[in-house]
Parts: sequence; C-alpha cells; structure tokens
Amino acid sequence: MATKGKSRWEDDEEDVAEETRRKVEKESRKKAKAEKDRLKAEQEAAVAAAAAAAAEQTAAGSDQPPTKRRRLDADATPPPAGQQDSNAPLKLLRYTPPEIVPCAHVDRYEPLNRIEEGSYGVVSRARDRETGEVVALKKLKLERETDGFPITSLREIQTLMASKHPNVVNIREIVMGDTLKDVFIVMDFIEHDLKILSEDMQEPFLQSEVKTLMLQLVSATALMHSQWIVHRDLKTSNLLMNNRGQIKVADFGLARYLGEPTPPLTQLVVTLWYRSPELLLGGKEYGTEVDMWSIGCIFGELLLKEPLLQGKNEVDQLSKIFELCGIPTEENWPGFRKLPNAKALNFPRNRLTIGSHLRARFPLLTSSGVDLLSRLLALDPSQRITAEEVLRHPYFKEDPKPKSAEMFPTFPSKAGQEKRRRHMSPSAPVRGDAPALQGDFGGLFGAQDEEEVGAGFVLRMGR
Amino acid sequence: MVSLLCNPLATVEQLASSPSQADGVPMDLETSLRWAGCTLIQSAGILLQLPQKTIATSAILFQRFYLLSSLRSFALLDTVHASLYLSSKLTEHPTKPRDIINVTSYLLLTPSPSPISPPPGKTDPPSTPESYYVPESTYYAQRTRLLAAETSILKSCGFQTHASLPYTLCINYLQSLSALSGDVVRRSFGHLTDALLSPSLLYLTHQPNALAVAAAYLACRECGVKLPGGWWEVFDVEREELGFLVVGMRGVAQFVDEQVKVWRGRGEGIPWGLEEVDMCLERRRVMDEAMQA
Repeated sequence: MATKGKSRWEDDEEDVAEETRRKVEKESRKKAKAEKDRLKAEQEAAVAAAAAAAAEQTAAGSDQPPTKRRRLDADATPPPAGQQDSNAPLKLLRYTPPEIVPCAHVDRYEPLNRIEEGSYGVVSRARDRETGEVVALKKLKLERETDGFPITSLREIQTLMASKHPNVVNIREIVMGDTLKDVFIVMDFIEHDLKILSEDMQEPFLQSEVKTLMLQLVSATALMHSQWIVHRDLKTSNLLMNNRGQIKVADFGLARYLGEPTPPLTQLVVTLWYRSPELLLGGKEYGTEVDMWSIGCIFGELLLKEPLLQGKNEVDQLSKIFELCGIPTEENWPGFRKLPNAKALNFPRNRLTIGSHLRARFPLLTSSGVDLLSRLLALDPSQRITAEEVLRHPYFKEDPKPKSAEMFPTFPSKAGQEKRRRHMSPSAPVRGDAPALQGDFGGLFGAQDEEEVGAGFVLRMGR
Repeated sequence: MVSLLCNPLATVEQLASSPSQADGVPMDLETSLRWAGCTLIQSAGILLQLPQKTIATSAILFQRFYLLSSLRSFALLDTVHASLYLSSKLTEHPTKPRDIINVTSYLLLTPSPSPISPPPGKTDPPSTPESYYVPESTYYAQRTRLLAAETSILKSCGFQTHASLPYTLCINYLQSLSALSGDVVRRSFGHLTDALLSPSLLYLTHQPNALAVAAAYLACRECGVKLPGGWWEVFDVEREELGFLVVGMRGVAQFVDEQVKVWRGRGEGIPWGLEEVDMCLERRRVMDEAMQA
C-alpha cells in the first residue's frame, strides 16, 4: 500500500470513491466467505452432533437394560434430530422387558452334595441337567412358617434380584419342588469363601491383593446402597471367591430395602464381630453405615488374617471396639448418649482410652491405609465413610497398586472343598427380639477405675 | 434385572391365550372378574390405610397371576386376599390376614362408596356389625386359602414380584416440564390409579415411563397447561404409544360404569368363589340354550 500512502495527500474525490467502493466490495466478500465458512462449520457440527446422538441412542437402546446413569445421560442431551429435521425418525430408549415366567421344577437340577446347613436353610451343589453347569441350590426353610411366605425370604429374593453386579453372587432363578413349601434359590456355584481361604493360607493377603478385594467388595456395596439396599450381614464367610480372583457377596438373608423416612428396623442384625457400635448400643434408626463398619472389620481381617474384633458377647464386643477405636465422647460422636444402651455407660477417661489405637495395631499399613480404616471404623455413623467415597480414597491410588484379578493365585480345588467346614465364628443373629444389654453394664464400666492402670482397657462382664 | 424404569411385561402370546378362556370362561366374564378383583383390592387397600404403592403393587400381582392361571382353578377372592397380603409384605407395610379378610367381608356385605359393594337401599335396616361379621371358622378357612394362594402367586410369576410404579416418575416428568401443580398431580395420579382397572391390562403391557407420560399428558390437557410439542419423546414414549394409552386411560371411567350396571342389573352377585364361577357359567349356558331354542 506504498502507493496509497504516497498519494494520500493528493487524493481527489474519485480516488476516495474508488477506494471506498473497493473497501466495501472486499468487506462484503469477506463477509460472504465468513458466512459460507460458518454455514459449513455449522453443517458439519450438526452432522457430527446427529451422529453422536444417534450413536448414543443406539448404545442406550441396545439389548442390555441400560444402567440408571446411562439413562440420565440420554435424557440430558436434547433431541438434536428434532431440531434439525423434525421429520427424521427419533430413536427412543427401548428396553427388552423380562417376561413373566412361572417357576420351573427343581427336577431340572441333579443334586450332587450338601455344602452347608445354616439356620436359614440348606445349601447344596447341583448340576443343571440341560447345560451341565454346576449351581448352588439354597432351600428355604418354610416348614415352620405360619404367616405365609416369610418376609425375610421375600426380602432376600428381592434384594438379590436387584443387586446385579459382577461382585454379587448371580441369582439364576427360583425353582419349586412338589409342594408349596419347597422353594429353592438357584445361584452360581462359587468355589471358595474368603474365610476358609484365608484360614488355609500361610501368609495374609498381600497389600495389592487386599486392595483388589476391597475394591470389589466396596463397588458391590456401592451398588446395593445406591439401590437403597442394606446387606446387614457382611463378613468374610459371606464373601465367596472363585478361582479368577473375583469375590462375590452372598447371603442376602438379612438384607432389606431402606426407605425415606427410615422404617422401624431391628437391631438384631449383623454377626457380632462385624456389628457396628450404634447397633450394639441399641440405635433404632440406622442405615447403610452398618455395612461400612462391617467392611472396616473385613479390611482389618484381610490384613491380619484373623478377625479384627472377636467379642464374646455384646458387652465384650463393645469394649473391644472402644479399646481399638477409643471411647465415644460428645466430641467424636455427638448425641451417642441418647442411644438406649448408652445411657448408663461410664467410661474411664485416661490417656489409654481416648483416641484410636489403629496405628499401633497395624504398624505395617501406610498412613492412607490407616486413614481409610479409621474412617470405616468411625464410631459416629454420620462420620463414617460411604462406599462411593471409599472407591475414591487415595489408599487405592498409591503403591502397591491393586493387583489385577487375573493375577491372583488360584487355590486348589480340594475334594472336600464342596463341603464347607463349620466356621469357628459366630453366626448371624436369628429372628427374635433384640436383647437389651444386661443391667450391670454401666457398673462394669464404672468398676474399671479400680482395676490396675497399665493393663489397657479390659472390660469384664458378669463375673 | 430390576430397574426403576422396567417391569416384566406380558408377551403377545400370553395376552392372546388366556388360561381362563381356555378353561371355558368367556372373555367378557374374565374382563369383568379382573375388574371386580382390582376394584376390591383398591377399596380394601384404602380401608386398610395402605399406601397407594402397596395397593398398586397388589393389583399388578393380581393381574400377572391371572395372566398365567385360570379363574376356575384359583378363586377370585383368595387371590385378592393373597395379593394384598403379599404386596403389604413386599412394600414393607405388613398387614394381618385377619384385617384383610374383615375388610373385604365388610365391603362385600354392606353398602359403601365402593363400586364393588351392594347398592344402598337393598338392605333397608342400617347395617350392623353382625351383618358383616366373619365367623371364626370362615376366617380360618379363608386364611388357609389365602396362604396357599400367596405361594401360588409367587410360583406363577417366578418370584418376579418387583413392580416399578409410574407415580414418582410422573412427578419428576411434570417437574422437568415446569408443570408441577397440585391440581395436575392429583389428576395425573387419578389417571394412573384408573389405569390399574383398565381392561387392556395397561400395567402388563406398558412400562412405567409410558404410563407416567400418558397420565401427565391427560392431566395437563384437562387443566389447560400448555406443554412444548413432542415433549413425550424426551421421556422415550412414541406418539402412537401415547395415543393408545390416552385412549385406554380415558376409557376406564366408562368401562367402570358399564361394569357396575352389569352386576347391579343381574341381581346375582359377583362369583368370588370357584363354585360360584361354575354356577355362573352354568346359568349362562342355560340362558344361551334358551335363546337358541
């Protein structure tokens, strides 16, 4: 534009007019080009968006019933096809609904041998006559029922059907025998349970293995809790394990749906060694936190290769808990005094009883591991970590990383493994009234002051 | 398997082949008896102060059961009792068999606002407790049959007792359309409850999201609430399905009127037991022969 610069002072009107014309022309060309580009880009974007939407819709409409999360995503995207071309057919979310099919007869399965007998029913191994697959059959105990089909068994079946997860034992169907009293739950047969397995092992699980097992257990629990299901009997003997390094949560005999507001619940749940302090203290309102406490006990058990808190009775269990986690105070558990069994408690307050002893009990655990354990074993249920939070905990990110399930050692399938040994641990409470703790409970805590200092925090009951 | 949005549905073959009709029960009688059962469930549920969740679950279990079982093998009244008892357990509002049996006896013997009760005026003296009192022997007989029917229901649906209901979905949908108001919700819920009685078995043929959309559509139309065009597609319902459901839901009121007329006009009661069904069929046969002669 050197010529233009030179001629600036000599410009006549014609030049100016010419210049403006040219400028306008250029401007309009530029505009047109920009407009064209914009249109093109818009078209491309629209095509891409439509394709993406179509892909998403097809994904969402595939055979598998989509999860809740996916469904929300599909909802959140506005129907783009409708904006571009209202005539384009819209792909809607479609489910293949399950059919209503009557129960098959138990004859479909050839009985093999008994695995276990509990207060709730008999579990045996059986083979599917058609496919040859080995399954576990659990016969429900209905003989003594006078009120029809027991609500606990209904809950067990409902919650198990609702908890479809790779780490929850798979329920195949319900079959019936010749009479209406013969009802069997058909489940996948899983080789081991974690309790027996860890008893047979020479060494405890490696840190990396513990992490994998914990992640599997917690992700199954997270699913249950998201469906408003509380298991209420998590313990190592209820965690089955196959030879591919996968654990499966089993025995939903005490599971049930929670509601909002919480319906009246019994405190007589969870096997004693895995029972949370709010249940032991007789709390009438509790929730999914009781499962998280049990998971804390299981975590400790996997690390130690023995149950973490082996109380002889309710009182002893509480004292073992307070010995490990420190006594409850109004600061660390606001309002605990209001719990029915806590009114008469009298705790010795000294250096030994206040504060947690987890660090000392697990000297080899990293500090984030101790942090996770102490959050799982938080006395106050409202401060206890949730399943979703556990999955994000830094303990699982630090070295050693969780071992991949395929790398797990396989365990010998002993001939006797089908018949599970009797566990040397208490079993889940059976139906009945929750026991009130004995009256001399408070007195025992009170008598603590007279005992020798230095012996730790030993509580005795009824001697 | 279990989802908030997905129920087990009847297949086309199941809908086409009714075990009751195969057993000699004419289609109109089957439709009528299904209506009577669901109406008794709804009325008894209200008197038992059960939440609508329990009542609707009960009606769905009842309908699923007669999809696969014959009205000549399983008595209507026993199935009504058992589905109420079972759903009260499933939804954590346990109710005693005695309460259920007392309430249905009351409803069937004395005039009440329920369309299933005898019309007022028929029993001229005001009803006394004695007129709907259940003798202990009757109670025990009914209870035993209730418990047997309960297991039969569980068996026939393969323990697929899960029933997702459209009521809460409907609230969510109305909320997301900014159309939530007391009046609209009341009307939507009314349509959803009506649909339980529909002769087209809407709860066995449509998923809860479609039912919720149809009820919301009707309620908004009735209340003059304008909604954006094609909004139902956002909730995965096709126009055709919506149209079908809207017609189905609007037809329920007329259907109920017809049913009430049918049973009041006949003088004979609704056949709640197996023998009564047989008698009813026999009467029909005689009437048909007389017509032909």
